[in-house]
Amino acid sequence: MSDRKRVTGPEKSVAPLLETGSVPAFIFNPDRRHDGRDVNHLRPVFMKSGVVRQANGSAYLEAGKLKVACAVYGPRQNQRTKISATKGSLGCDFKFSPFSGGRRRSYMKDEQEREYSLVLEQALSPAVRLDLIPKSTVDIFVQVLESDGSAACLAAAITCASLALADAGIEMLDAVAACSAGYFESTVCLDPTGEEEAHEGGSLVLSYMPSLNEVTHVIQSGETSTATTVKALELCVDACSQIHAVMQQSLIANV
Amino acid sequence: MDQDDIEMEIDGEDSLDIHVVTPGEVVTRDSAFMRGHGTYTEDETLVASLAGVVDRVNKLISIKPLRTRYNGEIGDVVVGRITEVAQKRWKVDMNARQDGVLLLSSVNLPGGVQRRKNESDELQMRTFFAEGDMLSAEVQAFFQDGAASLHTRSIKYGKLRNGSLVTVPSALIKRTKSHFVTLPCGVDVILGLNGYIWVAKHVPISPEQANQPDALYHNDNEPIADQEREIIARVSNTILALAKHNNFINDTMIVYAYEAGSSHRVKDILKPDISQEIVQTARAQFQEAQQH
Amino acid sequence: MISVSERDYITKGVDRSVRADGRARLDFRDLNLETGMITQASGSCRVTLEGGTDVLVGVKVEVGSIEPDAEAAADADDIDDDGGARTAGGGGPGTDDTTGSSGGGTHARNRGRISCTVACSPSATRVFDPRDVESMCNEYSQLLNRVLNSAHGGVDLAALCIVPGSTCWVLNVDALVLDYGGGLLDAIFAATRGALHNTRIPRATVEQTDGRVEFEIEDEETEIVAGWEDVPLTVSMSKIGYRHIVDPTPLEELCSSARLTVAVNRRGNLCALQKGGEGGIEPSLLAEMVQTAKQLGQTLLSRHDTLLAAEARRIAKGVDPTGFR
Repeated sequence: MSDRKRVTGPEKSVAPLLETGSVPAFIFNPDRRHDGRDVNHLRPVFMKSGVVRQANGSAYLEAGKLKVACAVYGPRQNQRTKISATKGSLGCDFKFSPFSGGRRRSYMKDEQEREYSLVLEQALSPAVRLDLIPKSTVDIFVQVLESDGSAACLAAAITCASLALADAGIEMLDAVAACSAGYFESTVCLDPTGEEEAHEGGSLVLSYMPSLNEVTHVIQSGETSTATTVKALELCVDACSQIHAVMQQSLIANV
Repeated sequence: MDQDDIEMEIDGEDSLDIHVVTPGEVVTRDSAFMRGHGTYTEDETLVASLAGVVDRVNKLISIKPLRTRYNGEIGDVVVGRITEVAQKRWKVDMNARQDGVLLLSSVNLPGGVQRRKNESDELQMRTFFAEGDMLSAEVQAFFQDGAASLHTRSIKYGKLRNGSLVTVPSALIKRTKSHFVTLPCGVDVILGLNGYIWVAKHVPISPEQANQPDALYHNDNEPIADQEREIIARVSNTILALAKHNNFINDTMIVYAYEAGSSHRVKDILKPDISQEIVQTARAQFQEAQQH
Repeated sequence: MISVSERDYITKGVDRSVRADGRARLDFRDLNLETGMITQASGSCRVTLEGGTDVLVGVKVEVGSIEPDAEAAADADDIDDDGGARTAGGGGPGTDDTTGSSGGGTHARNRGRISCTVACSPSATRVFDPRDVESMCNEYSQLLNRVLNSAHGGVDLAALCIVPGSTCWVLNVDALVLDYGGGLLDAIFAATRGALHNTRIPRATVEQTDGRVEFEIEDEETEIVAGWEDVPLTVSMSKIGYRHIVDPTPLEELCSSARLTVAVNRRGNLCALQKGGEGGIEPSLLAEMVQTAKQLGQTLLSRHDTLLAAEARRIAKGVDPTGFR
C-alpha cells in the first residue's frame, strides 16, 4: 500500500545544471586568446610575502583569477621516530579549498591532492639545504583559494611555496619558479586558464632553478610528439626565468 | 604418529640414506638418544620440530633445516651493514634473527691497538662507522637475548670498499678454513657465513695501516679499471647463478663456475639456460676433482 | 641503505657503462610475461624481471553508470565520481576530460572509464617504510590513471559506452606488487598493457523499446578491449652522477638522485612525462633523456608485442599457464 500522505522524491538527485543561455563553442585561437594574451605570455602575477603572522614564513600569489596562499612552519623538531641524523625533511601539504572550483571539494584529501603534495616535495627538495638542518622538519602548507586551471594551480603552488620558504629564512640553493603549459595540437600555449585547459590535448608543469640551471620537477600528460615536448620544455624554462625575476623583486620589496 | 620410526643403529654406523622429516614427525622411540637442535621430547619419543634432514652424531640427534635464518656460532666470519649508531655500540644487519652488536670496545681505533677508549671517540663514532657502511667482522660472543657480539680487532676485518655485495641464502655457505679468498682472476671474495658475500678488487693490506688514523676508516675507493669492474661483475653474477641453483658456494666452486661461464657475456650469465649450463659444468668438474 | 663506498663504486661504474651486474647503461633485464592465469578476472597478466621484481595486474570489468553531470567541460579541473567507490582518473595537470584537439571529440557522456590502483603486497614491503609505500603507490596509481583514462591513453573509451548518457563499462585495473627488485613502474605498465590485451568484455546488446533503452549482457560472447595496442609503455631513467641508466636494481635506485619516467606509445608519441626523486635535472639533459626514452620505448614495445603474440598462441593452443608454480 502506498503511503498517500507523503510524496516521495526521486531516489537519486543531482545538482541542477544551470544553463546560462547558449554558450558559444570555445574555439582556441592562438593569435588571440580569450584574455587577449599571446601564446607565450603568462598571466600578470602578483606576489606578496609575510601574509600569515603566525607562520615562520608565508606568501600569497595571484594570477588572473587564481589565488594561492602558502604558510611555512619550521625548521622545527621532527616528531617522527625514524629520522635521519644527517639531514632534515620536508613535509608538504597541498589542499584545494572546498569553494575553489566549479564543483565543491570535500575536506578529506583526495588522490589528486595527495599527488600534488608529493609533487611539491619533489619540486622543492633539490633547492632546500636540508643538510644544514638535521633532525628537523620544515612543514609547508599550501591552500588554493580560487583555482583557474589545475596545472596552473600546481605551478603557482610551487612558486608560492618557494617564496614562503625564502620569507621564513630557510637556506636554499635557489628559489624555484614553476610554470604550466598546454598543448593544442602542435601549438604550445603558456599558462592556460581553466577554460582553455578543458580543451587542451595535454598539459605540462615544469619547475626550474635558474641560477643552477636545473629542472627540479616536470610532469606531463596527454599525447604529444617528442619535438613538441622538447619545444615546450624550452619555452617553460624561459618562462620560469621570468617568474623568478618577479619573485626576486617581490622578496626585495618585502624585506 | 602411526608412522614407523626411522631405523637407527646405535653403534655408529652411518646409514647413507638421507631422512627428511617434517614438524611433528617421530624421529625415534629409543630413549638412548639425546635430543639436539630441532627436536623435542614427548613422553619417551623424540619428535622433530623443524622441516629438515636428520643429523646424527653418535648419540646426538638434531635436525638440520632446509632453509633457515643465519644462526651464528662463535668464530664465524660475517659481513654486515651498519643500521644504527647507538651509545658506545653499533647495530649491524647480518641477515640473522637479530641485528648483531659491534661494541666500541671491539673495534680498532686509529692511533694504535692499545689505546683506551676516551670520550671523544664516543662522540665521533660516526667518523668510524656510519649508517649504511659495510664491514666484515667475527662473532666474538653472544648476549643473553641471542644477539651476536662482533669484533673487528684484526687487520683483515673492518670497513669494506672497492666492490659490491651479493646476497645468497646462508645455508649455502659452509664453514671452511678461510673465508677471505683471492680468486685467480684477481678479485677478493669475502664469504660471510650469514649469506652476505663481498666481491671486490684485490687490494693488498699492509700491516702499517693499522696505525694510520685515516687508513682504516676512510671511505675512498681505489681507482678501478673497466676490466676489473667487469671481472667483479662476472664473479657476482656467477655467485648468484650458483645460488639460484641451490649449489653450495666456496672458492673452488666459484672458480669452476667462473671458468665455465667465461665464454658468455657478463650480463648473460643470469639467464636461466646459461646459468644452468654453467652450474652443471662446474658441478661435474667438482665431482671429478673429488674422485681423484 | 647504502654505504659511501658502494655509492661511489656504482656511480663510477655507471659512468664507465659497466654496472654492478655487467649491464651497460641502457640495457634492460630480461622480462617474463604471462597472461590469463587468474580465471576469475576479466584479464590478468604477470610480469617478472630477472632481479626479482614481480608484478601482477588483474582487470575486472563491470557495468557502471555515467554520471548525469559528467559532461561538464567547463569545470574540468575537478571531476569527482560520486557514484563509484574511487575517483576515476583524478587527473594530473590538466584534465582527464579532454575533448580532443579536433573540437567535437567524445564527451564524457559517451565514454566508459578506466580506474587504476597500485597496491604493494606486504611481502614486497620488507624493504620499504610503510609510509613511503603508500605515497609511492598513490603516485603510481595517479600516473596510470592519467595515462589510461584520457582520450589519448590508447584504449578506445567510446567503445566502452553501452547506453550513451547512462551506462558504460568500467575497467578496474588493479596492480599488485608481489616482490621488489627495482624497475617497478616499467614492470607495472608492461603488466597493465598485457592484462588489457588479455581482457575480454562481455558483449552488450542494446534495445530500444517504447522510448526506454534496455541492454542485455551476454556472458558467452566476448570482445577484446579496442585500442589495447595503443596503450603506452614507460621507460624510467634514473640519473646517477651525470649519467642516466634504465631498469635500475634496488641499490642503483638508492644511488640515483632523480628519475624521469616517459610513456611512449606505438606511434612514437609521448603520453606522459613525470619526474620523481629529490634531485634536479639540467634542461639539456632532460631533452636528451626524452629522446633516448622515445627510442628505447619503441624497442620495448616491439619486444612486448612479440611476447604477447606468443601468449596469444599459447592460449589458442589451450596450453595452461605456468602461473605461480
